[in-house]
Amino acid sequence: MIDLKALTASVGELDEEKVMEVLRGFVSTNPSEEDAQKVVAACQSGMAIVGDLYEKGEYFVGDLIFAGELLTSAINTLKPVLGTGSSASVGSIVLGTVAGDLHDIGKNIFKSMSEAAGFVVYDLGIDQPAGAFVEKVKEINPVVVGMSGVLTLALEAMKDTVDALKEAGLRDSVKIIIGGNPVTKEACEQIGADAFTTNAAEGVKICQGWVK
Amino acid sequence: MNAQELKQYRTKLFTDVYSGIIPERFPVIDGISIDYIIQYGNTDIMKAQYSFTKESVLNMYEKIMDILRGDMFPSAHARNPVALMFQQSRTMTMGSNGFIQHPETSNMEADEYDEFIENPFDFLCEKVLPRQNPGFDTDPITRSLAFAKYVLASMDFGRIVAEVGRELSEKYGFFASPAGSAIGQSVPFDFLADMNRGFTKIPMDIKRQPQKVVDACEALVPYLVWKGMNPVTSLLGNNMIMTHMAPFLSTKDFEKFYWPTFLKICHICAERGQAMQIFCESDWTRFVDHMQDLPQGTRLWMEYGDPQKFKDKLGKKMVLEGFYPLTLLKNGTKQQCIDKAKELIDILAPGGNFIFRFDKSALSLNDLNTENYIATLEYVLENSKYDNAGELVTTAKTEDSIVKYSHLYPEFKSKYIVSFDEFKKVYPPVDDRIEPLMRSAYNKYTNMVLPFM
Repeated sequence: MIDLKALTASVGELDEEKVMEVLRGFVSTNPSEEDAQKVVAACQSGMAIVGDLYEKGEYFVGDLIFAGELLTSAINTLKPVLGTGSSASVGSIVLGTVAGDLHDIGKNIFKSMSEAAGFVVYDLGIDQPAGAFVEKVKEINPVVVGMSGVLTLALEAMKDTVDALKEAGLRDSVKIIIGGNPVTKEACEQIGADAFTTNAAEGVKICQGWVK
Repeated sequence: MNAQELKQYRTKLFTDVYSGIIPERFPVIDGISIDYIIQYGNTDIMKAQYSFTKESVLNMYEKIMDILRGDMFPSAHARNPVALMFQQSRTMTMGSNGFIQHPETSNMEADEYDEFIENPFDFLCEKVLPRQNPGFDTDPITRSLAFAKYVLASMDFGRIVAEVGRELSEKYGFFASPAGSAIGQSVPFDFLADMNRGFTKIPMDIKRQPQKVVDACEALVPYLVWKGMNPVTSLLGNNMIMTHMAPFLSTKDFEKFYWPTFLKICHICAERGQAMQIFCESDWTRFVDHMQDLPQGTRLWMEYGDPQKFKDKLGKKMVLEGFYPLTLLKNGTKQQCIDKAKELIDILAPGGNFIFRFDKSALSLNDLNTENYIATLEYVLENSKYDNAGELVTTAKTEDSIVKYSHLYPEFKSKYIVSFDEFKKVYPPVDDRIEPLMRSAYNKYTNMVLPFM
């Protein structure tokens, strides 16, 4: 079995060459599905290090984007030995950029970091009307609804979405987190969300707190 | 003051600040976008953008005059959905609420750097433009027709913007930059990231092929300098840089990829007497020491950051603007809004080199409480006077701050930009009498169309 701690550290250091070399070597040994799941978990732990370094100001958004790509490549490399079973999900998130807003970079960073933390994420995409969130929440019954937006007018659309969830009788069955450049404590209160963040790593921690 | 006197007075305020002289009072700029102005007139923003006429735009501006208090005409420049329609633009699209935005797209592959570096402009014309604009990714005839429609639609709207700006500046005595002296200036790393590779692809390139990114930025300098040549050089104009990716990079990556060519572009502009106006998106406090190397008189419009630190480090050399959080005008009390203005004026105004401005412009009606907005700007105007007007901000000379870089780069050339001397070899004048007329017409129309490439 490979050195899982060293692999976690390499992911944390964003050392793509080393990570891929280790993973290719591991796959070539035709490992068991159980061992492969341990390797996935080690890579995911590396993402948690990336998130911590981002929060400390040592990594920046560009590093988070690269980390997401690195993790995707790692999982793709491991796919042949992962089998059909998948690791248990810690919870599900319905995620989208709200109506009128076409920005998705922050949403995508949050998505890849949430997936690395074990969440199953249903990504609705950009410019999503309140009704699309309501329909998906009805279908999935997620733990968390994540709404993203960059423009200040996204705040209005976030409020509309929360109101629509209330009207559909779904508000109390989910936790709602909003994220993006314009969100603030005041906006969060006005919108009626449970939490807000401008920091994807922090957002994932908030969601983890909800599923403990 | 009548409008003409007011215009002269306001122009003098800007002239003084831009010349490094303490003005009678610091200038004040409104924080209102064209999108806000459209909505303020209770107009359907989606339909309005597709049907701009001079009358409709004048009408919108007459209504917004209720709340404007600043010294500069708020430009009617807007993204033009009619032109975007002919382009079938993927890089500027309208959201379901009518706001045109720049979604993330990637229009260049990771393995195309060599071709890009070889000749960025030709690569942009041949590969990137058709990918950005499916309207141009067609057979040559359809493409020519689409391009002609796009250029005509752009010029129609450009004319409306210019005429409205000129008329209302005269009528209400606003300061406005001389025609042809204000232009957008792209900088290499953001240009490569925003429009070509994409924000989410460039971090891969930085890790996987760093030297290619550096080389691509260097290769872009001659083209972007040429693209940013404003027809009229004026102290009252500017080359406007809208920054994007700097705060998303580590300081090490900023120093390696972002800053070197950015700084050179600014100095090359300054060499020909053109000042830069830089909107520093997000928080540039980490880069305050780097910014000391910009040419003296560079105008820095800051979004976030520590104003005291910027004043201490850059206050003598650069003109500082911004820092005022627009969101406070919506959420704060009137007193909180005024207190914030006082706090910023106390830090930034002493010693000159200051223009009052919000960190960004209001986009939707919901961004502002107009009572707070008016009360804040009126407080600012009442407290904008200097008692040492006419003094110099610094004895340092602007020319001593400029580093010459232009000689290090080749002149920008492309096979798609043909001089009249080349052209007349294939289409010669029938008589020498008309050669100068042909040359003049050739240059006029070439220079009109090239900015749309």
